[in-house]
Amino acid sequence: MKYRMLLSASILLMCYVAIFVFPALLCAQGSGPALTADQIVAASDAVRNPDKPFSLKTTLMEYRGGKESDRMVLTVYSKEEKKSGQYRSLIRFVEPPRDENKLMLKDGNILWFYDPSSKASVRMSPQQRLMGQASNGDVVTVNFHTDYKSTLDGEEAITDAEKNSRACYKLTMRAANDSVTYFRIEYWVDKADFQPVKGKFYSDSERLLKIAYYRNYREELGKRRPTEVIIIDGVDSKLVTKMTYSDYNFRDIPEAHFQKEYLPRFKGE
Amino acid sequence: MKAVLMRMSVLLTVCLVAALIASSATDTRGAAEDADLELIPDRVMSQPAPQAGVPVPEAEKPGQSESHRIKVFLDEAFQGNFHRGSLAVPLPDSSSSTGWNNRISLDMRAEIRLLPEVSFIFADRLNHFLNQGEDPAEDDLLNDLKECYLTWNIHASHYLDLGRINVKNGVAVGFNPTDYFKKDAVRSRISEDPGVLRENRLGVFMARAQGIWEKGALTLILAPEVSPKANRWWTDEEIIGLGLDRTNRTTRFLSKLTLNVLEDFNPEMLYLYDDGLSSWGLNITKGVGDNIVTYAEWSGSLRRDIASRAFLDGQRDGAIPPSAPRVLSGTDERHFRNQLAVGFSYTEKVNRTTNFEYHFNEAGFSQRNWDDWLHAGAAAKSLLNNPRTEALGRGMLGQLWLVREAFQDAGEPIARHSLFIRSSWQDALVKSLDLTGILNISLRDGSFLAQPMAEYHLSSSWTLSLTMDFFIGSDRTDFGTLSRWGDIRAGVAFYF
Repeated sequence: MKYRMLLSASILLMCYVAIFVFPALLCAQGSGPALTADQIVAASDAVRNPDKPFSLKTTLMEYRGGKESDRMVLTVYSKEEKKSGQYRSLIRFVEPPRDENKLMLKDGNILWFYDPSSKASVRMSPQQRLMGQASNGDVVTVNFHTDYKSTLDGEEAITDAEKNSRACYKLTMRAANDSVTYFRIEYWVDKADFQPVKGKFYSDSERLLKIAYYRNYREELGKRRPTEVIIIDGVDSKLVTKMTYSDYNFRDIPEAHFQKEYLPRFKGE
Repeated sequence: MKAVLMRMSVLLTVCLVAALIASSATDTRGAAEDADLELIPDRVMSQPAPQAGVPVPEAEKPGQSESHRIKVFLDEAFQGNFHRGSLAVPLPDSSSSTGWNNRISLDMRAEIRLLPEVSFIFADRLNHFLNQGEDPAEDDLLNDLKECYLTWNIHASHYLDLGRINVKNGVAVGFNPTDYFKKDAVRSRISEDPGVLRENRLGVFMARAQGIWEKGALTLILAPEVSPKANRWWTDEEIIGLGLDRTNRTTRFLSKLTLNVLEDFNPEMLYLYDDGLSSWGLNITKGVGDNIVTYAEWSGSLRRDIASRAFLDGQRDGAIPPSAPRVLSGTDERHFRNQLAVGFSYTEKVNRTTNFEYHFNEAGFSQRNWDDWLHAGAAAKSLLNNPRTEALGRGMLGQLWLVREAFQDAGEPIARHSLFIRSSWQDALVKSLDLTGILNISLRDGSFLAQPMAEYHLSSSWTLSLTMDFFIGSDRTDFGTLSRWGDIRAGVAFYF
């Protein structure tokens, strides 16, 4: 009698697993045509970045202990270089007044900083930070899939910045060359629409540098794109930087404009 | 049979429990990630994002740009000076050494679009000095018209400019051998920081044509000579005089070719024709990883000895009487001389960037030049004690210090070999505090200039600063022969 009961319980458990657990596990491993990690990251890049040359206004707000402590406004002009698949960016400083009209050019790993007051173009490294936890590499437009090798770790349900549960692909991206800002990135991309939800960015010594949440998705230049990124410092978690994107516009930007020599000529057209 | 059934049941149960644990693991990992959300303050989440899709201001619409851009700031600086008691080579006029001075400057830069393809650029700094001391007769007010020119976008990325333009070349920080228009461009030496001096220099009157393409750029500049006629608004250096004779001493032609053909290799090649003399220049940069940038800047020129040049310029300007004999031995012969600045910048994770540079100036003072300068200075000093020879002694000292000033006006180090280190630390120790340190060491004698500077940004418009300069060395060294051993400067800047 005891053995029959045990057998019955086992059969019931099997039925439960057959009905509820295995389908869930199958779904978790991805049914239908499996997407590669690179395809997921590329689709996510397309959500963040328009496929035609564009400009946008980036407002950086730094918070310390919950209070706004600094603010910077930039206008970013970006164009994808078809050959490399990477973006080149021209950045004009709008605020604060002491930095007004200063310019930055990013062409691959080459960054030039131009100050109209001294008329000097100074080459700078990508690691140099702009403000708070926002590095030069954060404010320029970047396609992750060209600079990182991605692997799909699986799927996870995580809570986004809006406190909604999102079923996500969990990816790990590793630097494909030594010119990138981060050595390794943990990245969560919404399974349904490839919207990036969260990123964790690490240094080459595997130190957590920052945590980023992508939020406030709005219809911009033909697609729902994140208009806000919240960056939490990996060491000092009281230091939070919010990057807000607005004033999206398609722009016709000639190739010649992404030259150091063009910086003194740049008028923002 | 019962035993088999039991074993099967136990095995099945273990497998199923394992499967259940596996199925719930993803959710557990996701829950761990959710803890990061607690780090975001409510205020960050509650502030609304700027409205997307709002009408773009007229000037910002695609294909157009702003009609004008104006940046104005007010800069006040009070400086206390500390002088050496005795000098190996005294100054010709000891009254030029004041204990303190004050400067207030109104700086303005404007870009105005006159026509769709034509813009007007204007940059000016009006200075008011107190107790400057160099020349009691000199006005306290001095206006530096730094730039004033028209720029015409002829077609695509082809431009023509005409007027006073500040053209700066070179990739190094402490010394720019290829910055061919830097000579005599600084009228008020308000800092020892080369970066600050560049913000305060006069442009050169020129016509400039420039073409920029995807694979490079070509710039051609013609800067004519302006003769030093007195009492003319374009030459007179009093208050509003443009001082074009200062910036346009000779007729110059510059061509610059920038190539952008290889990844991370954009050499810049320059050729200068200056009053019958030729110079060639090269600028290259290369990144190493994401925190190091290496660079090199070289120029080779067929040129006169700087002592000879200073003597000839002094005679031309009237600072040296035509009949005065030459105090320092020198030759008017022209020799090919190399100048080099090579170094790298290193950025640390704390947002501190440090430039390390080695400077070589073949036109600088050799040991023999130093011996001559000090020997002539000692001879001139001995003449000061006798009223009959005092004037002669002061004339000799005037010539000797004119040579030192010639190096300063030319923007070249007097030392043949020197090390330059500049470290800039943003948000150092506390928020909004920027610390900068400069060290310039003469490798001949080990004397050095040290400049620590602190800037604190009170708000987006107000900045406070405190700067100190130390010129350290024994009395027969590069920096030890200077009349000042130090100064301290407190400043405040307001950006409108």
